[in-house]
Amino acid sequence: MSELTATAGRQAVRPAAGTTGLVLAALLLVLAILFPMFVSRYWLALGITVLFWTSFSGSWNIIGGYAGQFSLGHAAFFAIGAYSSAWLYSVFGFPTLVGMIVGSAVAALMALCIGWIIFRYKLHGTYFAIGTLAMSEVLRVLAGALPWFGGNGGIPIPLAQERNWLLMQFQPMAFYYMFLAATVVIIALSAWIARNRFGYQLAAIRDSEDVAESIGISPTRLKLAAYVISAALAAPIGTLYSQYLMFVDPPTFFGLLVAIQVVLPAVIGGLGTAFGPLLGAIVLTFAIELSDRVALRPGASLLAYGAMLMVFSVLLPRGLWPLLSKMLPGATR
Amino acid sequence: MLEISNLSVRRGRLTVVKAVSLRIAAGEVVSVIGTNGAGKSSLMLSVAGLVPAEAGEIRFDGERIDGLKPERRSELGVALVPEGRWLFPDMTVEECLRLGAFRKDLRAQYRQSMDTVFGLFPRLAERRSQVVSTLSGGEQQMVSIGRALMTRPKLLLLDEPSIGLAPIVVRQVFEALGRIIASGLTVVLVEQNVEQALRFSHRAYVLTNGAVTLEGSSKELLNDPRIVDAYLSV
Repeated sequence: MSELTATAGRQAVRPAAGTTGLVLAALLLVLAILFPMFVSRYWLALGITVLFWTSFSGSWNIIGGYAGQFSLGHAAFFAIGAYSSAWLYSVFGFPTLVGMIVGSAVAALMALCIGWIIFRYKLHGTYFAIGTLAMSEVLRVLAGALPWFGGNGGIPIPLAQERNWLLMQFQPMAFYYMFLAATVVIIALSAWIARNRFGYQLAAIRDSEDVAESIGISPTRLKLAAYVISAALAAPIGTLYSQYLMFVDPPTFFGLLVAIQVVLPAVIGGLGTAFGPLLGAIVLTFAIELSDRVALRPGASLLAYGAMLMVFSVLLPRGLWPLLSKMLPGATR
Repeated sequence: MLEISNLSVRRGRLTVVKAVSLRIAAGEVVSVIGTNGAGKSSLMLSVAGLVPAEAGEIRFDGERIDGLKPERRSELGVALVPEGRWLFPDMTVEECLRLGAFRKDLRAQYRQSMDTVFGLFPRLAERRSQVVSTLSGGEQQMVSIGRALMTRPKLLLLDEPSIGLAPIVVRQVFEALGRIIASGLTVVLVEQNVEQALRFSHRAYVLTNGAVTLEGSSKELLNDPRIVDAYLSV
């Protein structure tokens, strides 16, 4: 028995991403790579929307899902990324890629400062949600009030005169692949976190901070780490999205709607699961598309958001992924 | 090893532990008994650092720990087995135990610690891949004790380990605890099951309304008419 114990590593505990899981994930990736080659522009746009929300929500999922800290201020980091690259390019002519890296660093620093205060003073649950929301709203108002950052009108991103990939002005199909890359990175990172010490410690904190502390885990440090990672990932997605739209402005990037929308795919798909945000983004994108068409009014989607949030938090708090993963062969959860 | 002097603890507006002083020597098993609401659990939580001390001192191995964070106290060798077990319901037995050994200084020895715990509770070895919420109450208690032992403590704070367990399971848990104690661990045991606690410990403190009202060797207390009247006569 003791020999068994000594050799039984992680594999004995949870063989979730066994070969079957990896093969399925690879198959999915191949399909995703081939997808734009066979579809219309409409479907390509939907594909971009799905991947955009998957990667954005996946970045939120690290602090919101894995660490269980329900941030409502994630739009701030996304907007910091968008504004950094747009502003540095339009005012100083810095290549977008540089702005993207700067934005990520600024977002990480911002999360470090805000998180340090919030976690040190032990703001949990609703307080954390409201505190982060307040931070995001303050930044939104600031961005709207400062003419330097374009004020309420935002910053249009000037069309590049030269062809230079560093400026990241692409055709939609290229954006599709950029968002696909971001999605792959974030899903892989999430899966890695989940099976490492970091993920287990976060799970312990999510379940009970008191117990975690009593067995020598430091919640403050770990939550801060999760928050910084989450923010650093959200910013580049903001840059990508702003390049796709060719402008930045406060409501599109800092808005309350964005702060809530980013939470939804993870909640619908499954909080704290690697594939949850993808599943949620697919369901959400099609539900919104359908509801807008059926109602023939753009505003109908807002009602749909609210309804879905209610239905899922009451009936399926763990989201869709746990249901789906049970049906997949070889996967445990 | 543990020296508490004039400790007061407040929960909300109530002072639930009032100027309690107690000393526990290395290798001793001391029980703290008292009725529901006497302040026993608050005392334990306060020693572990999960509830702040309002006044007084807590010393561990001579060092003042009442201002330290819980994780720091865990490093010094204080481990709590909380009332109600506080497990991570979605994790497997092995994952739960492993979490106990995530502290930097413990990682290298985690396999040995795991073997020790499985040696103590063979049942857990059989169920190591089972999700904790599917275990019986007794098995969950074993996981909770095991997780505390994974931190390689010097002082084990056991808060109501027998609560809600069938008598036969209580006996199993206490048998295992007996073996832990034989290895030289210092234990503070909080129990409502007074007879069980007194038979198990060397000395005992009786807590009434947050204050120590009686203390002595467990043998004496077992025959003390005040104890017999208040707790043992049914």
